[in-house]
Amino acid sequence: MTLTAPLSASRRRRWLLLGVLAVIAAALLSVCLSPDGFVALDVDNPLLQLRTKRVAQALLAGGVLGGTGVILQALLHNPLADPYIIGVSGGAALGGTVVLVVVGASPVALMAGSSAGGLITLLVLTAFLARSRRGGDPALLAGVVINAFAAALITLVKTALPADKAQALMFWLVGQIGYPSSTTLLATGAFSVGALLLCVTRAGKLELLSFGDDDAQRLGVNVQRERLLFFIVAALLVGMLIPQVGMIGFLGLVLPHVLRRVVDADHRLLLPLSILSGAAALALLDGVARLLFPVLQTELPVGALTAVVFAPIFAWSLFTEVRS
Amino acid sequence: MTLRTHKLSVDGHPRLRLVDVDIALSAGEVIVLVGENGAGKTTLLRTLCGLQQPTSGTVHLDKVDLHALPPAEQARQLSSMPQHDRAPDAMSVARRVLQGAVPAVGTERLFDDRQHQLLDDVLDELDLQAFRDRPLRDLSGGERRRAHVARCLAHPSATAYLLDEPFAGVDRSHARVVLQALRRRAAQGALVVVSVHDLDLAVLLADRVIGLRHGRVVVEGAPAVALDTEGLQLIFDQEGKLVDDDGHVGVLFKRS
Repeated sequence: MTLTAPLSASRRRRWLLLGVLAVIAAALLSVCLSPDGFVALDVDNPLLQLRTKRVAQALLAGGVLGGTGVILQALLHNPLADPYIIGVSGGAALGGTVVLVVVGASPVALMAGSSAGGLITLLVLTAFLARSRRGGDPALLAGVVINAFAAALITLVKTALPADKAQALMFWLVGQIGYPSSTTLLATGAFSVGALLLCVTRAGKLELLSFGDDDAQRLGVNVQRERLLFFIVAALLVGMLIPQVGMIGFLGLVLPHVLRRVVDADHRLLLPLSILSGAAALALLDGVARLLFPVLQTELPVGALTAVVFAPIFAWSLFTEVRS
Repeated sequence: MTLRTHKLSVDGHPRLRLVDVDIALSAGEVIVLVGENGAGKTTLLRTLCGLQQPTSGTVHLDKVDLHALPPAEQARQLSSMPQHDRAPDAMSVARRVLQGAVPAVGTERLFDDRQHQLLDDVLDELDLQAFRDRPLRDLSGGERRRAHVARCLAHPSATAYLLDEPFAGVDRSHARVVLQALRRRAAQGALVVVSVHDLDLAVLLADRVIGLRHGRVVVEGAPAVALDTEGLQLIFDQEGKLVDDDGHVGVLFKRS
């Protein structure tokens, strides 16, 4: 499908309204999904109140994944970029691991460690990108290598640790959408929403950056400054997310890919819509994971579910694209 | 408005790209850059629009150092077209062309009536209206090049337009369309700087020709002067002459 007429305000408004409605619907539905099946919405139900926090965390995580996916794809000029592919999450996990081993499992320290890890990875990638005249491919490859390297180092650390600490590390690395404290939820929520809104208000610059640095500068974008800003925000968001929910792949890769083809490739719509649909999708999938509890007799990591659902969609989308 | 270079040099691996270029370009002029491949035309254009930092020397936009200006200010005044068009194939002509207006309308501004008018005008001007909603992949090489030119000219408030090979792949009748569009910008008071390989077009288009060879300005002047036998020898190291036969003009080279 080809997008013809330039993006108008009314078209963006329509789609964003739809996105917001989808988020609200997904949130309400997800709150009602429990291991006992569908329960009626009841404000006085304490379990439901607890679950609201979990749904809120899923919404935040999904929004961050959908948003950072689009941002990294634009900056690296590559539709395959996503925090889990280009090593940002690997770097963040490694940073968190180091902190966990050296300092201990304090939430703030973990967040700082993984943010730093993610940011360092992105800076290394930027250096690759700056020296590359062939677009984002070398940076992408470098990211894949960093991811593998980080995974190997984490395995090394895990092996060397005593059993109880290794267990804690494993638990942290797998991560899951859980029941965060109100304070954590409020702090990360305020930061995520603020940071994502900042990115959305600059989505037009991201749009121009996605066509190449030279081109963006010709059109008046301060390329170094904007790139650094988006990278730092993306690294902080991913760094904040990883210690909370662990590795949730495919969302940031597949949703933007599908939205680009089905709705619009213009980042001024793509970015906010990817954030909204990421939030809705993760809240729903987390609800489905809860529903499956009685079947599996254990909590299914939502990351496995996103992969199972989104990998075939991605494959199908690629297939139809190759065929046309 | 003037663009003025002073002892402008650009080093590049493995050779010097520009050496001691001193030129002064003013509003209302059409300047045509000619020279062999690798003579420095692209580097000069990139330096004149602020994209390429000089190794030494300066470029002044009016009284200020161009390279000290923030990118947004450079782009507000100078609209430039790169030699290679790296637009995605699936993008529509309308979307691509409208990007050129970003320095004037802002990055976050969505499509509105004003831009609609702007888009219509430039598409009409370059005979692209029929392709408006078509993806770039449906266009032939020359049509695509015209869309690329249209994007550069869609900047309504630019005081200078700098285009790298706007005629590449464009057929003779549409070369005329592009030529008239460029002349119109100059008539409206803008500076137009263009690199051209087709010397017949250069003669028709230029107020002033600047001939480059190995990064140096070797000739400069009105087409009849710059592209005479001596000028052609200096720029291309070939024997040729400028012919003006009853209003039919062109450059002819001697059969070797």
